[in-house]
Amino acid sequence: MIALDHPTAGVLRRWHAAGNLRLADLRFDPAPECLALWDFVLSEEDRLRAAQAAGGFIVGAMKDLGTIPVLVAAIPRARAFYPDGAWWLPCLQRQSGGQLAAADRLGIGEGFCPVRALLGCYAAGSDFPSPDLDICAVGATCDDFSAVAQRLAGLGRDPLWWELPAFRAPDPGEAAVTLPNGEAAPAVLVAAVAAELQRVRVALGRATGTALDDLALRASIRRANQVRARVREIRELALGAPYSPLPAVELLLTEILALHFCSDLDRCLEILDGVQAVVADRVARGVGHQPADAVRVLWLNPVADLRVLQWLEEAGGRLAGTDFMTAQAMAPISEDLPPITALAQVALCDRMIGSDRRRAALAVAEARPRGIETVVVARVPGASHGCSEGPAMAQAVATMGWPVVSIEVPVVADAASGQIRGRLEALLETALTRRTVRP
Amino acid sequence: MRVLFASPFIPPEFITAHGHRPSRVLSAAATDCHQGRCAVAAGFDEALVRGDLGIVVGSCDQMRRSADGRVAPTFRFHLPATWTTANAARQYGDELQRLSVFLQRHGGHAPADLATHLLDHDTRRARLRTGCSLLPARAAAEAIAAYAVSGVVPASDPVAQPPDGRVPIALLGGPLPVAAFDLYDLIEGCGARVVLDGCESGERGLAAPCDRRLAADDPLAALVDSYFLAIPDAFRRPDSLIFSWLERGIAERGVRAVVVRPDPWCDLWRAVVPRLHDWGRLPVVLVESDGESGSRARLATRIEALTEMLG
Amino acid sequence: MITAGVDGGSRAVKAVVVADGRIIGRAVRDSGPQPALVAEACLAAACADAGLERAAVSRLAATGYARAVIPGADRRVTEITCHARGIAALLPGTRAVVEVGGQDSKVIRLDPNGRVADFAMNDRCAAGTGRFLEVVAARLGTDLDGFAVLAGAAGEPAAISSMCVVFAESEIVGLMAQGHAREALAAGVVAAVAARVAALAGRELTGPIAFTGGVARIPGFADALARALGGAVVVPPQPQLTGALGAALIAAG
Ligand code: SF4
Ligand code: SF4
Repeated sequence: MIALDHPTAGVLRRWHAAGNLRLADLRFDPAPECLALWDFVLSEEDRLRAAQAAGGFIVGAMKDLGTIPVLVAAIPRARAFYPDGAWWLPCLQRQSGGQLAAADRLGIGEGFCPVRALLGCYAAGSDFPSPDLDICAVGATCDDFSAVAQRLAGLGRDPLWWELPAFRAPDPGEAAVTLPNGEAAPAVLVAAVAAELQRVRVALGRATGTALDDLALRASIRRANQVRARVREIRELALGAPYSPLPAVELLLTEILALHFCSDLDRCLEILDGVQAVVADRVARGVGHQPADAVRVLWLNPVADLRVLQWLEEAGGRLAGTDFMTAQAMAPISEDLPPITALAQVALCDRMIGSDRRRAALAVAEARPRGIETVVVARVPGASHGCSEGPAMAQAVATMGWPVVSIEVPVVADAASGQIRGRLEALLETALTRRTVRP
Repeated sequence: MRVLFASPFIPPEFITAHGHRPSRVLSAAATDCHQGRCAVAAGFDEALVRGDLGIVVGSCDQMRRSADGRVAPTFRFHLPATWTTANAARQYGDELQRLSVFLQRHGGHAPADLATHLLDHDTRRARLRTGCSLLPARAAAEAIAAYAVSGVVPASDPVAQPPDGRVPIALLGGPLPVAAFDLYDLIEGCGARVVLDGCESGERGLAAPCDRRLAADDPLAALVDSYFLAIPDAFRRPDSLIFSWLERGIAERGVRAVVVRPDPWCDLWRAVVPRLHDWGRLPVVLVESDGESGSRARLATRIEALTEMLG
Repeated sequence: MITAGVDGGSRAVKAVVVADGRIIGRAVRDSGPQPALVAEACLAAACADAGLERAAVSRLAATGYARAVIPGADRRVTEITCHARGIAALLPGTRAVVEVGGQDSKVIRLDPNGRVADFAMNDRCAAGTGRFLEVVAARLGTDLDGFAVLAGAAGEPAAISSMCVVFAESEIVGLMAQGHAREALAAGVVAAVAARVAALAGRELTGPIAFTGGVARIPGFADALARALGGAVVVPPQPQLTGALGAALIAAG
């Protein structure tokens, strides 16, 4: 791992100089492909502004995390991004961007999760261009986002609201379909989401003057599937290899690419190809950045402060399972079904739209084969799901005996570093002790 | 069986038509809520006991995310946040039909004479609505709570209260647990009077008058109209019904200020406060009560300051 | 007519005696556990300061959290109304008043006649209140007066990112361990609280802004507030007495 002052980290120093101050505190995978990944993620604003200046149509998709950008990518001159991605700016910029303070002034204070930063961006016109259309998924998405989006609407925006209903298992005797993640879902639920996506499709066509036909949508799905497949491959290697071949933060960035391709699908694939080659090479050579006996951790939630993931690694842990809320963006989209139905199915793979128990069960089932030893629930400050997900996870793993810790991660966690590192270390020690006492 | 639910969007008449006993939960959790847990949502979990049926309405995270592992059979009702589209109304109607199957599976019968049940409850609610404009706020809230919990409405006609010089205000927020009804007294003690009860447990949570002809022809459509399309709430997107409802309160009852009382852990109602500020039609005061005496004093200061300002 | 106002706050009780709109006597006492007794003593001290007997006060108004228990009051009025009234007398033309109280902070908008047009107060969280400053002061090994001295002596304020009392405490411990001067930390906290109060104001405040209450005496706080609010902020003389003055003026009718 290298720090910002390493000779090869020049590209990151540029981003640091541009205001991403937290980079100075982070450690990076030295592979040029991984540095390129960082560069690609951090340069999104430039791409979006350039696209808008060139007459492109910019869509601010919000909270569906993975679905709407596939629709948008079917329109040649349109690009989608996630304004809710502003979530990590207060950390990256070490609060210097003032997004949270601006949200405070708009009455959306610390009781809400850092997604409120997007209000500051919209208000100041900073960090991303003003979208030509906002598309907000509400319904079973979180209260924090719903509140923030309504506040945004009050600032004179006119978002297109669409309903992402709560996931539920089929009732007895009810017609069901199998989702790409293997879960059974009621056919009526898929139909309801499809009806909403159809509404979005029509609205997008109207707004851009380009009708979205099935042919274009199928092509877009095919390309999105390439990205998703690549992200899944990297993730499987990163989480499953004996020596962790990719640091946690870089893995998080990789998963983020699955959401909306950082608004450049072709370049996104190149970046992923690069990262995948690095990871595959390390796996083949049996090298990694952590020793083979690092404690294998299932990590729930993206972190408000990226540094916290590195504290885990510095303490001797490694990720072997993640739920960064991106599962739906990595699920393969059926290329056989009508495109809107296929998209509806992946939208329902969102683990955040069901109960905590469902989310915990899915995360555990996916991670278990990788020999998980312990679980970290990284609580998002202010998040409405924060009070129930920890107990649900503890219950889900009770029979496995995996120790679970819930930690609240502030957007800049330095103030709480003693507490957080102490808990992580204690957790890893507990896991190591269990190794020795296990029969 | 007794069917418990905590949302005003579940029509009790729909449950009675299936041969069950509807009862809305209007109690906060008796035990201390842990960090971040809304007392109303926790109160619902406490109220549900073995032998009941439960309906969890997923209009907020707090309700939606905790819908597993309850002691009684529980139906998860997805209440759409969007409401201006045909899709949303259809989803609500579909959920009612799914609820019907659940109620039948758990000891109920096929809905019998739904239209009659609709008209009966519509009549009861009409009485309650009349009471709301005439009774002291607490008495009106108690009457609505009694109806919500057990379906009964007061037998006697309400008597209009003479004007008493108190400042007429709207109270807005999620459900006010019955145990917290002394808030109405506290407000009166501070020189104001709730003339528009926008708590979920109050007048705001009453379904709109039902279209009697539609009730006879298509009772499900009538339920969609008077519940789903009519009840203003903070979770709805857009949230415009709240403002049109308040506008009516200003015009019809002379409302001069809004006091918002969200549960401390309720994001949805807290976020209404800045929206009301932007709306700018009335002064807005946020009160929070965690039940401590110190917080009651702080609450009184806010309301007294409001009445001094408007007096 | 001679009137008096007593402001029973959570930290201090303030009393003012007024004749013809002018302050002729004043006193301040720590609140203590028995605010009623302290209020009486404080009023007596203010009368003595004016060279008067208590009986010379023809009308008394009480304000602040202890207003309900202050003995002998002819009127009991909230501190919001009293601060507004006090400022209207001291600084006519003011359009907004900020007060950082022990438990509550307030932003009060005034109409052109100096009457309260609207107000906002913090929620139950202590961030942005005097209580927050007290906790921080204790962490810095001093009290509120000592904190004021530290804040006044600082050059560059330290960046305090957390406004949660719990996190801010540990952040300050961490920053002290890193060698940040206590003065810089105090100034950093002042800037953070000012930002929090500005957030409370929400929409832009127009027109002259006054800063009242005991916290307004902390050096640099008004400047920090002005920066956060984006407008000039004026501190009246003896800002801790503004509420009591307003009460005394209200008592006069
Ligand atoms: S972090 Fe949680 S609360 Fe925040 S926007 Fe995402 S899902 Fe919602
Ligand atoms: S008060 Fe708010 S959080 Fe609680 S149940 Fe109602 S909407 Fe949900």
